[in-house]
Amino acid sequence: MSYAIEVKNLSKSFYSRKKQGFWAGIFARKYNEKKAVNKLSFTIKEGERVAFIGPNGAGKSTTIKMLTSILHPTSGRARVMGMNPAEDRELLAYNIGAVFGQRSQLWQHLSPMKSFELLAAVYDIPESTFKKRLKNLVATFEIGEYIDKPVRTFSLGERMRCEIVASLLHNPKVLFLDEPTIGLDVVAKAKIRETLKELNRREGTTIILTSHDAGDIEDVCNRAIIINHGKIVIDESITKLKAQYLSRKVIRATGARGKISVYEIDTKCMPLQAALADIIKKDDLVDLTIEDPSMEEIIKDVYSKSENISCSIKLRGK
Amino acid sequence: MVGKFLKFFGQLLKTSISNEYSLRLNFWIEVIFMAINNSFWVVTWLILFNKFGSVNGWGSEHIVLMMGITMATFGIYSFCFSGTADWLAGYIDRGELDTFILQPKNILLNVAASKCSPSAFGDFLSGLLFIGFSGLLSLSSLPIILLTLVAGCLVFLSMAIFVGTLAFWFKGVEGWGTQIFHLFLNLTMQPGSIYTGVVKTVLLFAVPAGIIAFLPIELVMNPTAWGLVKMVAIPLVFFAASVWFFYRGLRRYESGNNFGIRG
Repeated sequence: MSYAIEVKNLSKSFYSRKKQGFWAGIFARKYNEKKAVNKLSFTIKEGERVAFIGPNGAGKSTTIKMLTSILHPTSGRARVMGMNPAEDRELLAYNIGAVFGQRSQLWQHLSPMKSFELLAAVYDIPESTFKKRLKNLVATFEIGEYIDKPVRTFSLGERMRCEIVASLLHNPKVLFLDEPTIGLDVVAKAKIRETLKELNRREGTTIILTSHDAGDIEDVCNRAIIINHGKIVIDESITKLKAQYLSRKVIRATGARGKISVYEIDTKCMPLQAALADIIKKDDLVDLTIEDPSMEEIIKDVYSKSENISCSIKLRGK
Repeated sequence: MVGKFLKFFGQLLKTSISNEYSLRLNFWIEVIFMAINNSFWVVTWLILFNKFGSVNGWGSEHIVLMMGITMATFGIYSFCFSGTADWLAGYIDRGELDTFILQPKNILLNVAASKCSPSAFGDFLSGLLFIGFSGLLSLSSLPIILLTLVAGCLVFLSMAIFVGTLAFWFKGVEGWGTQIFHLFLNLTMQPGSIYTGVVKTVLLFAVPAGIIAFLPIELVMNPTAWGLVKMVAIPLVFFAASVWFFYRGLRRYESGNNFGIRG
């Protein structure tokens, strides 16, 4: 299997002027350097579904923008489908699709259909191919009901589904999604996650996703690259990531009178058997469940470890 | 290649016009009031010319033709490429060029033709009306006027690109850039015969308002090969320079994370 994305020592710095006196500002201007991405290296195989995650300002969006030709790297090398995003913008654009949750490709006073027709001209899609492709996407994303209504009348979920269809019309090999479920309700999120997985299964589209929503990552992706301060903290499969950070368990114990106590333990600090023995001794139990932490908690744990916060034992009741 | 380009350009224009025309009442109100506004300008000049006779050899028919040419060229520019003067600096300032960069088409054309100004249709219609009303439209002047419409449109577009592109280097260009562009527009709305000597040279070769303000009238009055060369070459050189300037600035582009929707 070949690589969809190859990144080697990729860096991006932003510069802002230092506060100086009037004359110094004119004749000896000085700048502050902010390294948004710092010597990032990774590869992504074709057909992978990769979550690119990190706290705000970690460098995820900057990296994606460098991979999609929007920003030029300060140094390092990137290849997307064998092309250099900084030099082959037009050629690369035919091969990638991008959905930025906060940006729209749709025209607000027009129907999505009109925007799709424009995109067919933008991507030089022959009419018969366009009609066939659109028919499939309309069925997959279930947007037939409102495809001819003005975008300004849409809910956020309806708009986002149309945004994804817009970015898939030209059948891209790689799809970048930056916060695709931002602001959506649970049902809309589930629908988008499900269709993205279906797309990957059916067409082998490589998916690169950034999100602050752990559900997006857990449901859609099979690998996670976690970055912080512009550097990779963890690059692991979602399964391994969960296993590695599953030392925390949430135990719900239901007493005879229906009273539920919730315990949280870290098995690295206290063996599960010992914790269970403690709980069983204390309560007159009728039911007991042991749960893994959610992806959100795992990510929180990873971040805190990257900040060198030490492990602590928690046994919390009620 | 050319076919695909024209198909894209045609579809983009059709979409941006449809986007504006979806609010029909707004569209026609803007068209009508712009035409009325333009008529006031011409009436004012006619009153002044009737009082003073002529200004450096120009009579009232010349000022009406000049105003007609300015309105029609600005109308074409603004109807097709309103995304430049009115929007380019803002897109750059707010980091909103992403959508255009992501598409496999010329970024500048994509931005420029992404907005249509309804009032520009009023400019164009009133421009055509005043060109006809000037009494100087004839078989011999028609090719010069048609050439001017294209050359003038290219000059407006170049100036808008130059001003908008400054946003790659300076913040807040959206505000003062519009002032600079309107200053340029004002230079094309004065009787061209008032410009003489160095000012005339500057307005032809450095700030090419003369391509619209006086060169077409001079060519209608006295067509010369050198005049025609200037009419073709100056806009092309300015346009090429503005495109180079834009792509030079684009390397400095810093994207943003604002929420936004087209239209």
